[in-house]
Amino acid sequence: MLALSEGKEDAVSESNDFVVELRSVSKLYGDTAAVADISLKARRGELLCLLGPSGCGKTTTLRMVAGFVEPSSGSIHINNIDMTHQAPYRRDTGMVFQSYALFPHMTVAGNVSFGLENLRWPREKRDKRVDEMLKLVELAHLAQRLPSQLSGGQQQRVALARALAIKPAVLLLDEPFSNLDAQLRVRMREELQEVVRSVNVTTLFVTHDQEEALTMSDRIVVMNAGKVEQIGTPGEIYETPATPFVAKFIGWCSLLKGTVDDAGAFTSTAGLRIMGNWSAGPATVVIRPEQLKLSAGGAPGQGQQARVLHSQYLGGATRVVLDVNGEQLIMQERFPFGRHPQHGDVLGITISTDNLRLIGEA
Amino acid sequence: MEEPLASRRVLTPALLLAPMILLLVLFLIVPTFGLLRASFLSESHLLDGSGFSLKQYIRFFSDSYYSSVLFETFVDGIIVSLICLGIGFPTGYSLARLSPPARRWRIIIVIMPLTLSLVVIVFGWLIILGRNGVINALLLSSGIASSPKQLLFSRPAVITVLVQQFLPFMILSVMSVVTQIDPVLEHAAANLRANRFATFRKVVIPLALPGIFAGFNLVFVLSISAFITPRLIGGNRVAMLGSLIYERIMAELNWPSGAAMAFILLVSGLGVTATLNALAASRLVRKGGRYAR
Amino acid sequence: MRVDLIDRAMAASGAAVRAIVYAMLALPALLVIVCSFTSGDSLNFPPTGFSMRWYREVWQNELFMTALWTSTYIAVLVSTMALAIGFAAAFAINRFAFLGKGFLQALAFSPLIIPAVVLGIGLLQLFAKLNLTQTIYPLLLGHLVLAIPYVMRTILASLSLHDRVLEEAAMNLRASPLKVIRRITLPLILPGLLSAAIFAFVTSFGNVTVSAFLTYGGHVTLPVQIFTYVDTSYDPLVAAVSSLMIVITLVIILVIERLIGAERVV
Repeated sequence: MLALSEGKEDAVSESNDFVVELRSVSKLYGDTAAVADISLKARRGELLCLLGPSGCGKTTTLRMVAGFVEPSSGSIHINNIDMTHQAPYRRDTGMVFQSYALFPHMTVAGNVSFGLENLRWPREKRDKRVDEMLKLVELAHLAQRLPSQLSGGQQQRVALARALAIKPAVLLLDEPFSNLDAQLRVRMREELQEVVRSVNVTTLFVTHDQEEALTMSDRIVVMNAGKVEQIGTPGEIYETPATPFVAKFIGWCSLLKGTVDDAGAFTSTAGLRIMGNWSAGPATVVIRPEQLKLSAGGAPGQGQQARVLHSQYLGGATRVVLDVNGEQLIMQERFPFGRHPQHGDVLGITISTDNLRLIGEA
Repeated sequence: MEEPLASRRVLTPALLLAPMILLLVLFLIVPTFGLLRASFLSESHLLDGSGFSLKQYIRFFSDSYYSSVLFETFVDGIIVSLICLGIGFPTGYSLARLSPPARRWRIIIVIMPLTLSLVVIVFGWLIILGRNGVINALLLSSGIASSPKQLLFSRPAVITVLVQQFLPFMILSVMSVVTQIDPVLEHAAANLRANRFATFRKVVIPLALPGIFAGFNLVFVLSISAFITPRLIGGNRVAMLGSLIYERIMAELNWPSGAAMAFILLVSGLGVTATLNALAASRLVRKGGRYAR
Repeated sequence: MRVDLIDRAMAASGAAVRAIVYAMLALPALLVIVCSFTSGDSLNFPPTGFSMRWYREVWQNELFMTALWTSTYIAVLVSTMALAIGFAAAFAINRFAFLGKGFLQALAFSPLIIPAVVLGIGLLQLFAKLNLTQTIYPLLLGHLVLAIPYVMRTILASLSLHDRVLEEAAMNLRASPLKVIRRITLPLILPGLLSAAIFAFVTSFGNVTVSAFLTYGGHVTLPVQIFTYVDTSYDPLVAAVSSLMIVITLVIILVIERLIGAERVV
């Protein structure tokens, strides 16, 4: 309730734009909270991603929106109607399940048509819609196949067509790419994004893959241990992580603990000093690999002295873990051919202080 | 708009379960307790009576004939179960490790005696063991025997037939538990220099113990309550508790006595089940059960 | 060397035991069929001549034909009723959380551990008190009790193998609970339901241990008829009747095998 009243004015002014709204939703299993006091809003047409490690409560949250899990407290609103205790089949959602959950005893067309039959669409209208949806996902030629006769990617497209056929207010995607191999995953990601944008449906999307989240979402909800860590655009999440967890979970980074002195400079516990203009007090600084640069070709003696602890050759670049003044920092750099750094090498680096963030500071 | 979910969650399963509960209470539990009641009547030939007496039980346990039949029945049950275990284990184990196509016809052979009526199987054994039966024909034609031998109406014959009837239960129990043991474990044991015997003794059998106990239990309880086989194969020479009860009730109409014996049978069967369950719950078996995949 | 010997001895003895086991399991039924085609008057081995004589005799034997009809009639009723009762109960156990579920499951499987004589005599006593021994009810209800564990086991197994996510998907596509059962659950567990019904049929059709007590002057089933017949004398007539039962049973096993695979039968 507290969280609600805080942002009240905001909510009222834009309320019509929110298709899905969760207000202080919790789900307890016995004494453990799978989801603890989550509040979030999805704007109309937005692709909102729930991102987090497995067991963070993101799937439970999605299932609560679909109505398969009843919240222990809080409320869920779809199109500004309280749906908290409504049966799944009375909710305006369309879901793509992780396993796709295609009905094995129905054809592709039968699967897509199933929801329309339940909505009592007349036959002609139904057939037209099925045809339209299968064309949208480019599967019209497989309409009479059974799901078992389709490839993984095709099955996923049927699942998407089936969910979208009923024109749901919100599309729910539960780790839709986890059953596909790496190459297909990237292609399906683009396809799905294209289809979702073309029908302009509000989408809630659950994934544990940060790359998926960063490339596909309008906004990301980072979750951990049943709680929301941060909500923001991909850029905000990456560049201004709100918590150490978010910083660590999204992309590579080094986290340094230490204090900011009266001059505004940061000194880590091990003694690494970074100049800046921050306010004094204990702080944690996030250093992304791309903020470390080789100074003047990386020759020792220039800039900060860094000793190579280990390095991983990635093809396009090399990821190097460095010891700088007793702190371990990760750097990603393209080294000249044949100059791959070895354990024990000493490099000269500079830490770019532009965009360097202290966690917990605006 | 809210549905009365709470009340539906109680009412729906209750309604769905009611027919089964009603059926089993009225026609399984009520008759069993009716029988228990009848076993405490003193007068014979009475379906319904009043009073309470331990006469039937006292008579049973004081008569040396009954005690010996009870003892023999138990011994037979144990022998049948042990033979079933001895030959059922290798069969069940190999079935579990066969590929599905190879398993197919073997499974059908194993299931056949379970689904086929018991009398038909017993009748088949009459053809095998009878005076003009298969074995005597073989003995005579090969010159081993000069005149037909009396094979029926003997304890070994009864035990053989009981073994064949109940063997499928053992095979299937072992098979179902062995299919859950990852074959990789056996490969690992072999890789650690265990020969086949050691692998069996130290890996397979400990993990298969729950199935062995279940099969043993089932075969034992079925064997001690058998009455068709002792009657047809054993005749008057081989008395087992089951056939005694059948005669008491169907020929002599002595209800209280038959009821008391039936109860002694039920309690001994349940006693063995409880003992085996307790054993199965002991540390060794629990380990096996816990680690079987 | 020693290791090799142990391995080989175990493999050889295992193969020998298995050969004996399969022969032992198949032989009685096989021999019954062989002997049923005898043209002689008595049951001999090897049978004398070949004829369908005893099958004609069965056809004309009113005792056996009536019993066959009674058995079939009861078995059909039992399988229909057991399926309905068992599905409802199995569905409730599979889908709802409630207190005493373990106890209910134990109750459903208890007919397996109660000795047949106990159930048979108990039911005989009950129906004698109700004065219903001359009716079909003792057999019908006795068989129904016996069929419950098999039906429950088969349906519970199908339900637990059935992917619940498919039902969630159907609900998400606006199907009401009844519609989900009708369009998704039932069609997908149909093989399990069919084999449960067939199991109930076979259980009833072949039962003799309980039926022997319940045909007390009333309706007589085929196995009981064979039992009482063999109790006094046996001849090729019984072999012919038994062969019919074997063929019927075998066909049923093959049907179940087709439906759900023989593995899952057990």
